[in-house]
Amino acid sequence: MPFDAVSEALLKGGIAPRHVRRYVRELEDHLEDLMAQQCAAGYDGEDAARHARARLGGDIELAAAMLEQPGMRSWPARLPWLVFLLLPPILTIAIGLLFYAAFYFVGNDAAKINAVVHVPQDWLIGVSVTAMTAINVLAVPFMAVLLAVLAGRQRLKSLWPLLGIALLLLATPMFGYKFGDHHNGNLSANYGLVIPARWNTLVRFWPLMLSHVLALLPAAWLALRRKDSA
Amino acid sequence: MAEDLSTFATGIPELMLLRLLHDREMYGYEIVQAIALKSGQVVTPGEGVVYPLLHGLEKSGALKSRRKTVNGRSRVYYRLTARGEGRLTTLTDRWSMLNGAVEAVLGSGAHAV
Repeated sequence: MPFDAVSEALLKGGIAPRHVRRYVRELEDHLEDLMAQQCAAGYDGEDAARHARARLGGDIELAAAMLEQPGMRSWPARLPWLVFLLLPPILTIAIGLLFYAAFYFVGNDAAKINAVVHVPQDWLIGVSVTAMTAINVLAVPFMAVLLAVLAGRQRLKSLWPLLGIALLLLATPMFGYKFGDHHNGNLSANYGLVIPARWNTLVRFWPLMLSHVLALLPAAWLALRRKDSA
Repeated sequence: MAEDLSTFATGIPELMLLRLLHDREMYGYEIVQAIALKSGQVVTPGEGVVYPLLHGLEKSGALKSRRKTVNGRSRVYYRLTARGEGRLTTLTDRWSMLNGAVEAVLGSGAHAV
């Protein structure tokens, strides 16, 4: 692609990907117009392309013009501590609570739902329990992948997302539940560091352990990427 | 005011863009051709650098853009907003003042020294 170098320079300079995409697309349109003009002026293929590209400006000039513009930098480039450290735990808890509220309602009110739509009560409770366990396992890895993708897409250094994932692992949100007649209305949420002291603790908290293992995969990718770019 | 005028040179491309878009909506290539034509080929920047300026003006609210297909070609057209009109008036006034000041200095020649 004719503007790959410009695109890379802008992403590394912290320009938001959407601005980069738009700029490159407009440059491509402009280049096409210039090529047509050069061809109309009598230049053939390669000459027309060379003249058109020269008139458009060099890669350094094109990148510098965009980097000078205020307000084009992405949030992760401007405020990495906010995007990688503060928002992920808040978002993880918010997303977890949202799904939990929904599935807790389904599981806890299975009898009422069953009376209206004739879906077996056991099945509703089973689905809720499975979904809520899945959220416990997947919420943090999902957020870790998101941070890694964000850093990769915007060519950001790996340090901030690695710190963000470490923070998520240290303070993982875990939600608990109890359905049925004897435990009606019991929903608990814990947020904090869980250190398994014994083997049976490890087994008991298997969703947390699995969650940590999965979250370490994007962290490993980020660490390798950091090593490669060093 | 003196400080404003000393840094005004960097606002000249902005003034030209706003003035051209004051008449009608245009796309990037069209703007660059118009600048070259109207300035008698005196002002011929690297043509691609016009886009960051357009994006910056759009972000500040001076311009609005829309993608439009004309004769089978899809392009981003820019037009001036009310805020852009205000910015154009300000820049035009400053330019007139600066131009007048420079003319006065040039006109006075060596006699004033």
